Amino acid sequence: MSPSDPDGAPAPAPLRVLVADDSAILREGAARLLADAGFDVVAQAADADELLRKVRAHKPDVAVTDIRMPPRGEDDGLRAAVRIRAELPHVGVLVLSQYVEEAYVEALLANGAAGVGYLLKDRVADVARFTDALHRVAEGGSVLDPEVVALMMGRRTAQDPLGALTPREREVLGLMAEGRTNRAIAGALHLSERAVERHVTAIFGKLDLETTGDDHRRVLAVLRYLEAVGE
Amino acid sequence: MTPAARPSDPTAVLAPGIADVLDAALDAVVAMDADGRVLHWNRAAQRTFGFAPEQAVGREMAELIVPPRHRDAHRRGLARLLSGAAPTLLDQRVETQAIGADGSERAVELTVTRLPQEGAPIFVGYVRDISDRLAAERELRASRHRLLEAAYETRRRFERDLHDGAQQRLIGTGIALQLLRARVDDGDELAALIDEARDELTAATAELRELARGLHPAVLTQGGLRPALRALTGRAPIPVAIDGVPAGRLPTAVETTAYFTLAEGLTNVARHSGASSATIAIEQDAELLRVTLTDDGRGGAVVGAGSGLAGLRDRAAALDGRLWVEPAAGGGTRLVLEVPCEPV
Repeated sequence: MSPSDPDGAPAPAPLRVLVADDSAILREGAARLLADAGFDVVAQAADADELLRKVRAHKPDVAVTDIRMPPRGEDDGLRAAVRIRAELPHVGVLVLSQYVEEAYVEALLANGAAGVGYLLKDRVADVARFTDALHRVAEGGSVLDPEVVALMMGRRTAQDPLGALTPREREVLGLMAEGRTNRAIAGALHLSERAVERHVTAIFGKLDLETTGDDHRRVLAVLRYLEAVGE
Repeated sequence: MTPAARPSDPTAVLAPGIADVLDAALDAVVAMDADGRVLHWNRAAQRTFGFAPEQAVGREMAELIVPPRHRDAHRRGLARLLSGAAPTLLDQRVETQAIGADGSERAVELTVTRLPQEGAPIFVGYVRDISDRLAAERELRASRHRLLEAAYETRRRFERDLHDGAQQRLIGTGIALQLLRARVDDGDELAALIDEARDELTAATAELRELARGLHPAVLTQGGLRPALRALTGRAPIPVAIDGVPAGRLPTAVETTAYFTLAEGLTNVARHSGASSATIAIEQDAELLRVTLTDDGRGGAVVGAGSGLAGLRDRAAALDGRLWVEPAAGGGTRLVLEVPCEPV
């Protein structure tokens, strides 16, 4: 992991990234895009076995992987990502998904949210978002696609436990679930960090969640809460 | 009239001309006396079982055409009937098995009646070989099942092809546009065109994603009903509780049918029922999977034209299952699917 400011300032040395996808178009395209954006693409992999082998050999800062890949053609990429997090704590994983699935997120975050990201695959073509996600994952943060957060927050439930939140607090909760820091949330909503802190405290109070210092623990707490709402 | 005394004169039990009538019948007609011996054997009986009348008349019916494993039951039944017990077999159609002269077994539909006459009883059996019909029914059921599997497999393949093909290419195109955009200054008129193309592409990708998901959710293949139903209820416009889903995997056709039944059912509930909430439950016992969707709406749903449920009923039937709607307690509707399915 490269040493850097935890709130997303660019690291001095280029981030070392591995790209895994069975589609050559996508793999090459993403690699080129990342090279253009100043990343060091150390290796590419076309299936989950190659991904694991090359991650062990190169120990990149982040491994970017598709979910559905050979050899089985099911969720092999996701399984490899979970394994990488367990085996090599200094390698972050950013999983790219064709579909928004809570089940994928749950599997990915089963052992913690640090250094883990989940983005819809189309986001690759949005360079700013994609590279921002890579930096955050490399720094041990968490990244969740806004669509999956919207899905989890939009689930209709009989009691609607989020009903107690103000619209602003719901916005803040959504950004927290996406893995944003207070500083990033403040920037996105044009608020002061102090104001964001007050919202966060209010949200945790209303949802009866324990406050925590770590951003990735906070993500986990919020997601576990949203998952439990959907049970 | 003592039937046992006339084995050499089979037609004597019948009034003149009756034997001709029976010989013209397409079904086997056989008559038997109180000892279980054959009194009459028409032409169709010869065709069905391979014994000529002169071979059959006078022999015990049980030995002639009843499979060995059923013979004792046959004899006990006759004895019970003669003792005056209430008949259990008379005057109804039953499906059973019979054997022919070559020893081969065939499925038959059998009706036994007792002739209304004085003196020693005479029983007449009407026998139809239904082996072909049963084989055709089995094949029909099997082919219906195969058609359903083929339809599901086609949807899975379309989803896979979209995932591996068009969807990747669209994202690849998005990356190419992005690389192009990075080489054009913000003020350049090309920049606006490229941004417009990228926005259109993003919308197309999102539409294609929903289309592919609707064809067959990949998470159903990968994780089974639990994660697939969680995703389904998460997208529903009303709260849907999940009240128990088997954790293990089920046969693909059963999982897929259960999933699409609930997906279609939820669409109906949202569109027509006025319900404010619904509950999904899936129970599994030794041989049956039972899927229910209960809503608290205004009720009155029927499986009929236009409800979308008729197609679901056909899918259930293709798995030898059943689907129906019934009133739920409190005024809503319950959609029920039952499919034969052993735990995996």
